[in-house]
Amino acid sequence: MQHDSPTRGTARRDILRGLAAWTAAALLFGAAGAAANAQSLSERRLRNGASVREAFRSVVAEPSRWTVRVLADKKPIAFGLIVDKEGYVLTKASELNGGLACELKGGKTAAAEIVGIHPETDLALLKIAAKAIEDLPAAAWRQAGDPPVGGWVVTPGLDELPVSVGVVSVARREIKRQSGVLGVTIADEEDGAKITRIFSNSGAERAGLKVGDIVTAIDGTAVKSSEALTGLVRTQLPGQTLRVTVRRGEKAEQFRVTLGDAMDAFFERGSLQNRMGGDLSTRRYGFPVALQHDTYLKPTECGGPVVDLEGRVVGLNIARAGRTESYAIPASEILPLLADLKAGKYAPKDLEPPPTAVIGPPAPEPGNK
Amino acid sequence: MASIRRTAFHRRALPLLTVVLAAAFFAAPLGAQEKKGGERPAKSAGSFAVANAPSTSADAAPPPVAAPAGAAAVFTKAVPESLEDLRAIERQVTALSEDLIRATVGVRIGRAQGSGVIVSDDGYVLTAAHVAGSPGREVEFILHDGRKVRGKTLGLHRGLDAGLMQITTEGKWTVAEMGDMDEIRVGDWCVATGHPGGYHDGRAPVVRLGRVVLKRDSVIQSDCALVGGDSGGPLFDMQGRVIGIHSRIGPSIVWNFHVPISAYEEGWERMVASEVFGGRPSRGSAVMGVNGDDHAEGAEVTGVSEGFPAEEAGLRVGDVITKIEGKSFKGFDGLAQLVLEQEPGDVVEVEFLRDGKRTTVKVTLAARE
Repeated sequence: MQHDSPTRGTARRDILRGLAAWTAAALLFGAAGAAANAQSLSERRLRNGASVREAFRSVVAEPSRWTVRVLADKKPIAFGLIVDKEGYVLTKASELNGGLACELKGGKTAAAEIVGIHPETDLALLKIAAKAIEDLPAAAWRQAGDPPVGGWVVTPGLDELPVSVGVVSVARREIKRQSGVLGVTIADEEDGAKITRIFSNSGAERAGLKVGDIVTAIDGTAVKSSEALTGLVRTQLPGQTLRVTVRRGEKAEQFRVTLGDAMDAFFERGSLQNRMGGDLSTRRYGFPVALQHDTYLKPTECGGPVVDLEGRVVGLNIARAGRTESYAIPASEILPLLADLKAGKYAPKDLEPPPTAVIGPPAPEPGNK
Repeated sequence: MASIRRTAFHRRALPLLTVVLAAAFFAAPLGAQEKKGGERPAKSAGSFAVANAPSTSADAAPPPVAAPAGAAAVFTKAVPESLEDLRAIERQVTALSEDLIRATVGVRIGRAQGSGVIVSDDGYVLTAAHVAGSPGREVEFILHDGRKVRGKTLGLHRGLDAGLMQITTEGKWTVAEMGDMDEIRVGDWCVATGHPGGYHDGRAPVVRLGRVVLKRDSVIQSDCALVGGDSGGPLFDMQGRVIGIHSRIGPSIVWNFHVPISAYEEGWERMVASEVFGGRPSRGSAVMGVNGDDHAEGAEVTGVSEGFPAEEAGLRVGDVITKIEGKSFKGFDGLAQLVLEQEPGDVVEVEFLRDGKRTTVKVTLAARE
C-alpha cells in the first residue's frame, strides 16, 4: 500500500494512521471479535459464558429448586420464587396475563392463581395447587443485608447452571418513576387537544392517530384542553394502554394507545443503544427501592430470585432496564410485604379488571430487532 | 494485501518515563509520588502476570504459573473452577470498587455528557475524544458523590478516540493509576465504571465486571456492557489500574470497545499541549460491519461482522461494493470515509457486484459509541 511507504512524511502518516485506526475500530473489530480469531476470547469464557457459569453449579443447586417458570397460556413470561411449602410464589406482576401456571425444576407444572399484587414494587404473589406437588422446597433468604457493590449476584433458572451471572453495580436506591407519553405534540382546540405532531415509533403512531385529530377523552374522561390531556397522561406509566377518543373530521373515533417512555420518544438514539443487546421489560421504572446489577437478562427471565454465592436470596429480579442494567427488589423490602400479600390485603378486586389487564405486553416494534 | 495490515501501525518507542512502584496488589490511590505538572502519571509494575499461552489459541489453558503472594490463583486460570475461585474474584472486585468509583467522574461539556477518570493529583482526566470534542472547552466535572468542579479540555487523538482534560478547581482527588498495555492479556478480568445514560442524581458511578475479549494496538474489547454516557469512562484491570477508556459499542452486548491505555501513554505530551492529532473522521460514529480490501471498482468485502448491518442486509464475502448513496469511492479507505460521514440509524443505499451482477441493497447503519 502506498500509505505504508516509509518515504511519506510524518504528518501524513499520522493522518493515515488515524484513519486506519478508525477503519479498524468501525469496520474490522466487530468481525475480529466474532470470527474465528485465535486471539479473541471464546464465547464460553466470557463473563456469562458456559464455562464460567459452570463454576456456579453448586451455588444454584438449591435455588434452582425454589425457582419456577411462570407460564401464561403455556408461554414462558417470567421466573418466580417459591416462598413456602404452601405453594406461594412471588413473581413480576406486570408480565402476568392469561391462564397462569408454574413449571418447576424437573418439569412438573401446576396451575396458579393471583393472590395479590403490590403495584409500587410490581411484585405479585401467586398460589399454586401445592397438593399437586409433594415436598415443595422453600426459599432461603440472605440475612446479611444487601451484597456489596462488586459482589456476585446469580440468577438461577430450572437447570443445573444459572441462567445468568453478574455483579451489583449500584447500592440500593429509588428508581424514579417515568411518566408515559403518547408521543405527540398538542395544541389547545375548542373542547379538546389537537395533535400537531406525531413522533415516529411512538404509541400514538402505532395506534393510528393522525396529525389534526382532536383528542376529546381519555379512558372516558373528557379532555377540554391540551393541559388537561397532559395532566391525564402524566399520571400513567410507560407500558400502560389508554383508550383515546378523538374527533377526526366529523366523526368520533376510539384508539387504544400503549404509552411509551420519554426516552423512546425524544432520544431515539439513546433508546436504540439501550436496546442493543436485548429487549427490555415494559415496566422498568418507578420502584421504591432496587439494587442495580449488570446481569444480562431477557424480560422473560425477570420475576425470579437472584442469589449470592451462598445461594441465599438477595432479592427478586424485577426489570431488565437497559443494555447495562437489571433491577432487583431487595429481600429486606419483600419480606415485610409477604404477610400482607398472603392475607389478601393486595387481592385483585373482582369488580374491576385486575391491574394486569391494562398493562399489555410490549407492542411489537417493527424494525427494532 | 491482507486486510489485517490496515489495522497495523508501527508503535513508536515508548517514552521511558515509567516510574516503577513497589508492587501493590490492591489498588491504592496514587498520591505518594511527587509529580511535575504535565508529567505523565506513573504506572506501577504488575505484581502478577497472567500468563496466557502466547496465543496460537487464547483458549488453551495457560501454563501453570506460580502466582505471587497475595494474588489469587483464579486470575491465572482460563475460567474460575470452584466456589473458592468465585469468592476470590468477589473479594478483589469488592475491595477495589470503592476507589474505582471515587476516581470516576461525570463530564458535561456544552450539551454533551460523558464520563472520565482522574489519573493524577494535578487533576488530569482521561476521556474519549468524542466526549471532549476539541481543546479549550469548559468542562463541568461531577465527582462520584455529586460535587461539581470546573475544568477544561486539552488535546485529542481523534483517530484512537483518546482525549485528555484537566480539573482546574483546587482540590484533592482519588486518582487511579494508568496500567501497562504490555501486561494486558485476552481473558483478563476487568471492571468498567462510568455514567450510563449520563450522570443521574443520587446514582454513584456504575460498576460492571467482565473480561478482555480482544486486544489490539488500537482497541480493547470487553464484555463489560456499556451504553451512551459511559463514553470516556475507565476500564480497570484487577489491580485497579486503567487499561482502557470506553469509546463505542456494537449490536451484541459483548461488543464494548475501549481506547487502549497506550494511546494516552504515547500521546501524553501532545495531549497536555492541547494538540489535536491522529486524523479526524468527519462524523465518525456510524458502522456497517464489513472488512475489506481495495478493488479497481471500489472495495472488496473480505469479512462480514456477525450481527452488524451489512450481514443483515445480505452482504457477503467476495462482494465488491461500488457505491454508497450513489457515490463511488476509491478503495476501502474511501468506503470507510463515506460510512463515517453518515449517522447511526441512517439508511444508505449500497451498490455492489456479485458474480458480475450489479445489485443495490439498503443498509441501516448501527452506532459504535
